[in-house]
Amino acid sequence: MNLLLQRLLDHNLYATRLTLETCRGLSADQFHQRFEIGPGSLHDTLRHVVGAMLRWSDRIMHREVRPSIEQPGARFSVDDLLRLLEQGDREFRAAAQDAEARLDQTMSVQFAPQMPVMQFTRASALVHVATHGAHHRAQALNMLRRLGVTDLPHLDALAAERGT
Amino acid sequence: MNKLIDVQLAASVWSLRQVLEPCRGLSEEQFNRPLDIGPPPHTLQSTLAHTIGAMFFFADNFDRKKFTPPPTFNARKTSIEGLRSLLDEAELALRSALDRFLQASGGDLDAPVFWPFGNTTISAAQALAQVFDHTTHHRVQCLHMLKKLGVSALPEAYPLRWPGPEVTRPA
Repeated sequence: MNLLLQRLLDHNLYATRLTLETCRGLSADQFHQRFEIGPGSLHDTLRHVVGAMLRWSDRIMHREVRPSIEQPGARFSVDDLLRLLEQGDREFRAAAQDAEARLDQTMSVQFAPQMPVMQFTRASALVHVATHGAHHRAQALNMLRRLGVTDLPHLDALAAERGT
Repeated sequence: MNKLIDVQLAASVWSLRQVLEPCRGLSEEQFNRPLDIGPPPHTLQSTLAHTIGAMFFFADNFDRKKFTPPPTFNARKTSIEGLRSLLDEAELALRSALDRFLQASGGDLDAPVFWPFGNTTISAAQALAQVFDHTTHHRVQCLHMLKKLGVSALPEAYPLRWPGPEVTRPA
């Protein structure tokens, strides 16, 4: 696999895992507390990060997209999300490896039945997923800080290199 | 240039430009208002300046040069127009430095890059991961700041939106 993509995915796995581990110190109320940022709570934000990895693996592999784990009311523990993260990482790496030889190929995706079919290259899809987690982890860090967590995890890509 | 690096860099810069656009509608007080997020002093202006400034730092690292910000950086970073032009220059600087680095290393992403923070050497791939993670991290902070400042039509600054209107944010 392209070494850049490999490093981005290594970092995504490391930083998402570390964010989830930090959530172990929270009460259930705190894990589900609502904030006006991102998907709305730590649980929902991290569930969204993992859910995106799973459905984008299906899209890039041109498979039928599995039922979303982001159904309203679907609650997962930190351990559940860690297991799903490992699964999403494995499946997305396989999809990325498959897509690597066809980076310029156009993909067609309809995100919802009422929306038009969208087109973009596989390269754009890979780049989107590779940075999607970073986008939402920044929101998660903000929520952790607002919950009073002072020892925030170092999630940058250089910390990932030192931590793995 | 490696296709993924090319797309990643273009999408990253495009996304940051999308964040700069709605800043035009803010007052100077709003643009410089301290908020509870982002690098000190926690303003939209300082977060954007930090993000763009880091791109020059990254470029100099790939060029194996001691970091020197553009001479007019501090004077221009205070205005939206100044930041826009600095972003254009930062993109060019980073793209050129990466081209030179990859040409010299034969495209080897395992080639070492000296990283002044931590006084260490890392692989080019790891350095690139840091470049893109850094911009994404701070762009999200800027989007949250815009929301806190009352901007309701936030830009959809996602790589899938790049390069055109035919693409929509994923569900």
